Amino acid sequence: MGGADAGAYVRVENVWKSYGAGTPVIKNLNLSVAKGEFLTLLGPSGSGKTTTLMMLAGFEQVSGGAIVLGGRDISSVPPYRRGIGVVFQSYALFPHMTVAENLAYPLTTRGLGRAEIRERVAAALQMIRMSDFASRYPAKLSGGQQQRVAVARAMIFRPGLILMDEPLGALDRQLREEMQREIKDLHDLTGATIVYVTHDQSEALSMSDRIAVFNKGRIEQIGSPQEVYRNPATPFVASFIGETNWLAGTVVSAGEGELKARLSSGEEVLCRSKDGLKAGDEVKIAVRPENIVFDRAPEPASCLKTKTLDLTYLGLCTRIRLARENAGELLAVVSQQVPGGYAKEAAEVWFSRDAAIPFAADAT
Amino acid sequence: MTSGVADFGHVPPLPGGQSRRWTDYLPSGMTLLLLPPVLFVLLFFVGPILLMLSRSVYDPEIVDALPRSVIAIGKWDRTGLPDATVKRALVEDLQAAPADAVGRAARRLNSFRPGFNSLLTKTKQSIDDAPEAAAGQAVQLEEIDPRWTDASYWAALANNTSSLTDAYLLAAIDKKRNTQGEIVSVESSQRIYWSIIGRTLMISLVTTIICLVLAFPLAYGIVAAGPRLKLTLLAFVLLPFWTSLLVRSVAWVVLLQREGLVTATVRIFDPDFAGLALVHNRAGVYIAMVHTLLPFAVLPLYAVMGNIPRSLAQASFSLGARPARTFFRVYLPQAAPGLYASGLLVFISAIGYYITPALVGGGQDQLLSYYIATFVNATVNWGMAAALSIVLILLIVVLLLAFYPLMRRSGRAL
Amino acid sequence: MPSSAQAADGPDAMAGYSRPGVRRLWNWRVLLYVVCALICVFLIVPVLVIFPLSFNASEYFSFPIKSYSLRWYAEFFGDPKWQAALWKSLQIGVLSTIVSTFLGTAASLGMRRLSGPLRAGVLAVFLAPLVVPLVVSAVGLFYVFARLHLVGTVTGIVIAHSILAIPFVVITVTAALSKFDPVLERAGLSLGAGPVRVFFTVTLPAIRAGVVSGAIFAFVTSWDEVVAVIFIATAQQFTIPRLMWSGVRENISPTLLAAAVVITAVSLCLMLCAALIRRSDGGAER
Repeated sequence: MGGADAGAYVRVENVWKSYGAGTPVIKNLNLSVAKGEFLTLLGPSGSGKTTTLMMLAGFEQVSGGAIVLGGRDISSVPPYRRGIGVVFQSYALFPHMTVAENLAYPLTTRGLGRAEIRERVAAALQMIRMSDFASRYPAKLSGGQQQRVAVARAMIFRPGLILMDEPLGALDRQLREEMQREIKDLHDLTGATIVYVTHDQSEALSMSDRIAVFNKGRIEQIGSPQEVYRNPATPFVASFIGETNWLAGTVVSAGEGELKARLSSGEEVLCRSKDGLKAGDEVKIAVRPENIVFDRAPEPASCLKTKTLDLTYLGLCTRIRLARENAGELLAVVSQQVPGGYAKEAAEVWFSRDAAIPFAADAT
Repeated sequence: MTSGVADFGHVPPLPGGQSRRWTDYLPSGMTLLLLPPVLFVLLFFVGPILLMLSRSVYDPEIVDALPRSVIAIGKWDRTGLPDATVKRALVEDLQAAPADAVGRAARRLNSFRPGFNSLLTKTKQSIDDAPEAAAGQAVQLEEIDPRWTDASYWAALANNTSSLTDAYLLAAIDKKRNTQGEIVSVESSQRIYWSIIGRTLMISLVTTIICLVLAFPLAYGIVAAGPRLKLTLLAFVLLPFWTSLLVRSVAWVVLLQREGLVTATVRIFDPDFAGLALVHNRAGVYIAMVHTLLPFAVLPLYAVMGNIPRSLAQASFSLGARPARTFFRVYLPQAAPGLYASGLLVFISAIGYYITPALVGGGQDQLLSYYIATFVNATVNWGMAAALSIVLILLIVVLLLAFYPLMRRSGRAL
Repeated sequence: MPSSAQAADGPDAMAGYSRPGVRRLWNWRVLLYVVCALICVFLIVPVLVIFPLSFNASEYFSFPIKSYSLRWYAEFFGDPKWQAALWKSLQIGVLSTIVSTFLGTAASLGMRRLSGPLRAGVLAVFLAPLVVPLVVSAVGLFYVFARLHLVGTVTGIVIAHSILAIPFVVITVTAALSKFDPVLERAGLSLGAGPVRVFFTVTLPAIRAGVVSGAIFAFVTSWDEVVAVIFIATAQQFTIPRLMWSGVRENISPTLLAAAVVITAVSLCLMLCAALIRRSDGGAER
């Protein structure tokens, strides 16, 4: 997956990582990031995304393979010579320095003149709209303000690559959305290359140019947000990003661009084709809740017989829990006006062939 | 679940119904519980220490024994010798006072004018033995002892005419009142307390510095270690910490004495080794004091260092700072509150040390506490014991006032 | 749905480990732990050295030890002087533990509702015996006890040791209380239990570990204490440390080292128990 592209700005080539004699936490990782790209590493905790970020930053040594930045192998370069900006989950602002001193820190280490430092710190403070806070200590700032300072500090020495490790994890939801927009704006403004780690799928979907989905030390899929959402490469990606209904069955026939499967509950359904699946194979079929409709879907489509269990009104949409005949539950999400009198009534629901994605039953 | 309300079975009503029991009237938060411990500590700690310290300025023994003399000598102009009224008052006092009261006063006066003890005791003895006393004839003090013609004895008495005295506090800093009652330094041969105070501060300071120098790498090692190594290192710190101070001091005597284990160990490699006495000298005191106080330095430092987020050093690296710069600009300022706390704790403990220097040190290595103990146990001079205690407590208070804000300020942002 | 998995555990959390420039820092780490090992040897040798010497058959302290024997322990446990001291130490230790645990726990509970300078002031009074030099405290007590005829009595020593032990009880119980959520008490009250019942069924069990380890500290404080007994005890009221103190100034006999081993072993066992109690208690809370 995602073989390293020779012309990319950052390349991670066949990287392994293990602690001592334990099983490797990163297995043969390949990744490339284009100049100016916003790449998100998404995955559950323990999936290796933060380890990957720490290896890029230089806080962790690679156990095998190479990390190449701008054509230079930096695998054994210490972090203070890599020139990569890092935004930490805990912000890691120096508590004994003021905001201005924090921002000036990377410039003084680089031996810049006093006048230039003052100028650049002032500009950075203006950029994050915190000019009035220059002489405050970090403990006296709100979470959002600390966040802005941390981002500004990582950007002020104009690094080619900026790494962000769950930078918004500690903020409440409203502030998080605001900061997502600000980080996006700064990205557009500076054209910096950003590698961003999160376990929050909506953050990944809304911010990224591309998403790399991590699971158990491997990349399951790399692609644009639309691609990973609409065409998940593995069952893990299908479940981790967004919600998914799973239908178990057996392939009846494999045709051109479509599969026909018989569900364990008896119905026959149509789904997309998939390489390697042939008649007689056990499959599980992923269908997004928003693709389950109550009106007849455009052909080719399949139909399931259900009963409505309950409705949850969420404002923007309504979630409907459905019981299939002898075969568990289905979840549907509808955004249009829900016709009244659903409860406990029999309902036929539909989904189109292209919304049903089959996987081999033993795939993960 | 079929019904809307779960059935938890029958619950009996609360005992007592609406009526209240006396326990319901207990004050909230049980602040009253403070009463017994506060009384106990005031009665058996704060009170006794204040009473004892008051002896540094309150000394009734001379006034009690010689009440007439101290009034009479108040009129003396301190030129020449006092007139006959003073001498008569003294004789009357000596006739009236019991021998043990005179003895106490004599010892006290002796500390201001050496020789006074023998002079007064001898005079008392002569007066008690003299038949003239019964006959009411004048007693000639100069005939009993020619020292009564020395004005310095009378001056010592004149300087102690009140139950309130600054003599002990002055003595504790090598000052005294001269025959004119002015504050002057004592003769250089008798100046001992400044050097004892200086020695106490010096030994404590050196001990503190050595402790911090050793504690810093050890605390860092504990913080940076994996879980098993961390536990091992902590055990090495805690085992001596949990061992009695007396036992550790005794162990150091065994190790350091001339025919002790250090010597024996060296002899294994060099049979002709003459033996090195590390006990009863300054080196031994430093070794034993550093050993007994090192855990006090390691533990606060370890607590502070353990709370320094790793990400701070990582952030510093990512911003281009080399390890040395990261250490001095980021790590050390974060560890500073721990250094201050450890240093303060060690210094304050060291300054009051008694057991360890008494066992391991020689005569020139004793700290203030030793002299306080000696004044109480050997010479029963409560005034000097109290005055030196005040010096010791003042040193600690000054240190606390000086360093506590510094500790707070450097820890402010944490 | 695994989409809201919690961060910060598993291997990702380990990734915070800082090993920049691995090779150079690795040498630094070797140096660091060599230094640590040397300091640890310095810390532990004096504690350990008394153990083998007390089993030495010879009367002289010499290494290597040629033959081991229990004769000094036989002497220690056989000598009525040491026997009396052992009994006195135990008696005084237990009584001081009871007094200081009771008073220290009451003090911590009483301070709960205090705040600001008042609390700081009260706390300072209770912790003062830690800061005031031992000799000053002991001399002060001696001065007053002499007038109250408490010098040379068990009562006098128990009072002195309780004063010195109260700070440790206050520290451990206050720490335990700070981790205790007072909402639990309100829950108890709302469920129909009165304040006294709530204290004994909710509050006390929650701080029990703190009280017990405070009591252990108190016992060890009394057990090891020598300065106060130097002043307050008389020839008839010798505790083991007091007897060691007089012995060591004349001549360190192997019997004295046996006594040192006995008091050290008791202290270490008790402190280890206290540490384990706090550890298991902390584990239960998490």
